[in-house]
Amino acid sequence: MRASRSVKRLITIPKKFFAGGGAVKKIDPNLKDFDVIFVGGLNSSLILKTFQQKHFHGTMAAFNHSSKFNYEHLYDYVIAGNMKSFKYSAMPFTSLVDLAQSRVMKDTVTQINPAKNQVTTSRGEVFNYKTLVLNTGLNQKSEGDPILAPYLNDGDYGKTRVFVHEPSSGYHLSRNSRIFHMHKDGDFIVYLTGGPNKRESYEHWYLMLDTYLARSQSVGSHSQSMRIKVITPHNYLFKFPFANEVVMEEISNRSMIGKKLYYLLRCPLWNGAGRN
Amino acid sequence: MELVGIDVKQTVNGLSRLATFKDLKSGQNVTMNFGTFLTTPKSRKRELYNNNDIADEDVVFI
Repeated sequence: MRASRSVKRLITIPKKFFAGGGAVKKIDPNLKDFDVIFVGGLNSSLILKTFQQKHFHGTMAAFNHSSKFNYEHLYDYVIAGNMKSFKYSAMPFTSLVDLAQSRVMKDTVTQINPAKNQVTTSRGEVFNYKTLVLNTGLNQKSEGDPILAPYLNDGDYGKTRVFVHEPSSGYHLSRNSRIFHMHKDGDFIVYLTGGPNKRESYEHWYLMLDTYLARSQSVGSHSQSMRIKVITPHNYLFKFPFANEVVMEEISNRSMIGKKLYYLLRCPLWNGAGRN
Repeated sequence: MELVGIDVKQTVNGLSRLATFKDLKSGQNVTMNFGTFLTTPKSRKRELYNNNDIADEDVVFI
């Protein structure tokens, strides 16, 4: 009897089961009505994945035109494994999602109708939702800026070393992938105008910048006198504990190259009031 | 400080990179040499929020 059960196992294709039992319910690829619709980036896919792991039985769909997300400033460096602690910042959108259970579409959502609980895509398709999760970020475009324009269209290499952060622009994403590599000498100026960008306002970005430049200083490819200057009208930007004290402590505790990290720890933070 | 100009030009010593900022309080211009200049354009709400009242026109960080 026992032997026959073993044979049966060998010849039976195993099914996926939830922890609570029951086969995985595959989603209808033509479904238009969803319990939850996500519009946005990696955080959306992370929430969707969490719902899947928590055995949420409702229907879910995610819209994102990007197949992958990466830290364009250090894409090659991160992907090559030189900064393993930052590798989570570069990943495909669908790597987090079980595509059998939920729909992931590359269409761009162009309209939202909250009164009807509907979203419309660029192809004119209408999808209904019960709950809408928006994780779209902000629209950042330098197009038409008379100061920046002459220096931004010099090709992928960015030889002027003037860069602008535009997450929606493929050209700038590609060009910005060389931003750290192109930094050979002089100070690194970060100028934040209006609402701070989600990258440059995060401690993570400065930690990565520090990690990269500190290594360069340790091997002598960058000057010891090099400074990172952050110019912003927002006095509060670096007053958050997580964006200042914690990061500074982290950098200090690493002791990777000891005193060579001083340039960031003593980094002059310039703001509208001229504080430094 | 507000960015009022960038000047990248060839000199006998190589490329010269200068950024000029205006101090909004004193009204004076401050010029800085830079090796790399990175900026983030002013943030606005995305187009999909234009036909609804989900997002404010001006993005305010708290």
